[in-house]
Amino acid sequence: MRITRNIVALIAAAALITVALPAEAGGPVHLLAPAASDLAARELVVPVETTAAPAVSHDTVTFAWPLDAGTTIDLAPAPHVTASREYWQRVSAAELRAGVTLYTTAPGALVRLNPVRQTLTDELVAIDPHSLTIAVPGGRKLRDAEGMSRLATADELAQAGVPFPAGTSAFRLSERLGAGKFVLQAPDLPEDATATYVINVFDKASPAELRLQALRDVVFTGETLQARAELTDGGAVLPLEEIRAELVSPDGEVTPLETSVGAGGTVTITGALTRRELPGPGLWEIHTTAVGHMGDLTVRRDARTAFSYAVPTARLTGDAEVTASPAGLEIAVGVEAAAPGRYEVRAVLFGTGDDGQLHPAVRADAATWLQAGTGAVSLEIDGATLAATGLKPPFELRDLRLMDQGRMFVLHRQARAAVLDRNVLAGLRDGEAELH
Amino acid sequence: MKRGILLLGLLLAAAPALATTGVALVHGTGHQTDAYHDYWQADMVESIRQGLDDPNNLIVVNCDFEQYMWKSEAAGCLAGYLYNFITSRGIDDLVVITHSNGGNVMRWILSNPTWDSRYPTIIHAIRWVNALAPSSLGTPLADAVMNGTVFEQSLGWLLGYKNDAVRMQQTSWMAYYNQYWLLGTSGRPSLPVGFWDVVGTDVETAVWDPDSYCGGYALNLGLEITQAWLDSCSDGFLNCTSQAGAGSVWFYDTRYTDGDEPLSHNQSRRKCFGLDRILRNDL
Repeated sequence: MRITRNIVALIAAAALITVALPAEAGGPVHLLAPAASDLAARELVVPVETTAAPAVSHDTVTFAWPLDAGTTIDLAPAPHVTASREYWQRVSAAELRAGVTLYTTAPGALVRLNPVRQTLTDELVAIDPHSLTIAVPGGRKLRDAEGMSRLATADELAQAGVPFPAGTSAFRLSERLGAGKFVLQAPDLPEDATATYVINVFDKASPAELRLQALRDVVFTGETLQARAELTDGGAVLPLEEIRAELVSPDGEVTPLETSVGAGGTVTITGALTRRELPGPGLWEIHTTAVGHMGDLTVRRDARTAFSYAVPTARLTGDAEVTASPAGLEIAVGVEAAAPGRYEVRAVLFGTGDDGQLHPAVRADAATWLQAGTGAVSLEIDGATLAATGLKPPFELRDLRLMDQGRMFVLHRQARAAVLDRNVLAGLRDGEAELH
Repeated sequence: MKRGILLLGLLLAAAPALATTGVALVHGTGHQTDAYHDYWQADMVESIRQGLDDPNNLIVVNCDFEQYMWKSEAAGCLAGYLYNFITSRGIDDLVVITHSNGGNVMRWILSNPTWDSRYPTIIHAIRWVNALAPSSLGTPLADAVMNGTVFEQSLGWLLGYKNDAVRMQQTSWMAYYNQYWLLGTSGRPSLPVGFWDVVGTDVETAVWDPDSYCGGYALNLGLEITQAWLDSCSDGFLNCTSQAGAGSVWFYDTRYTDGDEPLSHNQSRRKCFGLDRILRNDL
């Protein structure tokens, strides 16, 4: 049976539970220092906004809702790991007419190719996979879809509703051909064809992966981007012949990154991030291209991963003012802003259960417009909502985050931010409740 | 458990005996102007409508979900539809039915209640969300689409595929958004309302099988081809892991569909194998 978690019903129902009514209390709280694994904007930077900032509300909006005490919240999340078993290659029509070498390390690789424009007026000429030839090791040429299974023309792929580039066609190499080097040729392409083609080889059944991970998924202006990459066979690191890495901005600027191969074969990727003008919404990407070997087979892999490059437009002051009363809990978190904007604070309040352990109680969000300078964003947690959780002091403010909503920046993430003990929360009767 | 039982009891005591139930249908990626006919088709919509006490309490949203989910044309548009629907018709028991990327846009509203002053009103009125084949963890096909274009700085996006929604649904992009801007995935706080996934597990096409024609044979055939780039448990556009990645799984398709038929990514928005009846009865 699915249980409705309707906030109005919960609060209305929880209002039947009352908390005794001593006076308001509270006081200043100094936040805990961020840990090494936390994310914190330390130096403020005024952004250079080359495009008009999106219109954002100046309203102050707060919201809180109870969480299931059994919820597991990862307070030190690791950035995403991309594991790639494919590569891309850009070739000219002349190269495709003469023959392009494909590298696979397992039978049944999927091959996709599509025309791309170099100029706005280039004509996109799709290639019917039936017109392609495949030369297998030993030199024999397979024609008329021999050596292919599961062909798809551009029209058939278009029917799927997946927005592949126009003119995309695809096929699977027959499993009986095994793995290795194959030469793909489009002999019917006209000699005067000037089109460019992208070929994608997805080595789906292969254990060989290029694993790429940014060490942080939010990087601030002036910091050094760091990532690591490994070419593996699912277990051991494979020897690398070549690796390149690039940084790509949301507006298409490409910057080479430094790569360094360690003794164990792990690649460290670094690059400085200094750009202050905002290129618009969207994430930045690290692109890597690697060539290595798995036994006698050549492994080619490309991998990409995204991260956020944030200009630190605001930071937490490190102080908060807590007001506790039967009406609820208000936590005014100090914020220093370098530029006007709509700033948001989010946090999870953990409370102590009958088992003496801390459990998630309430998630609270608050956003408001701040001018440059020092201000505060106040989390508000309704007393009835908090009482209904059954959790008691000491509370802890965890997973504290500061966001710049208008510019879509994450400015702060802190696993443990504050301990709210009985002294601070004297305005709340210690979790006791009377049901009327 | 004890806390849950107490709250459930109080909930039933305050049960919506006088609640006004409404349904909102939220499409997936694309810029829709007539989703009633083009995206869902009339027979699906009208079948779901039969589950309402007041048949007028149903809306079909038309927004531009080719944008990033937070843009005014996407979440802003969706919020406008839902807010106006709730306030003009007194809806206080709203069931939202989303498909594909529509689940992400709805999850944006639920995860960012302070983004817009309308959002709390909307959230308070929602009973739950039924997310049909949501792309909660993105899809490798979005990566394939983006990587197949050539991004030339000099010509910028003019040469690329200009669809921010596809860009956003790349797997590493959705991993970032799920960590910082969306809730309900593993290791993250839960959403303020239930988000129930219906997962499509396969694509079946055969010329002689009439089930292959539900939703359109050519569309299903295309999805069977694209399934080659995905895991064996997939609907032709999304892996099952992505569809089940946020909220809670209501059911995997074959558990409740007529004839235990799987729902392709196309069929999960159409009147196929009793899906309409399942959604109607859920109201």
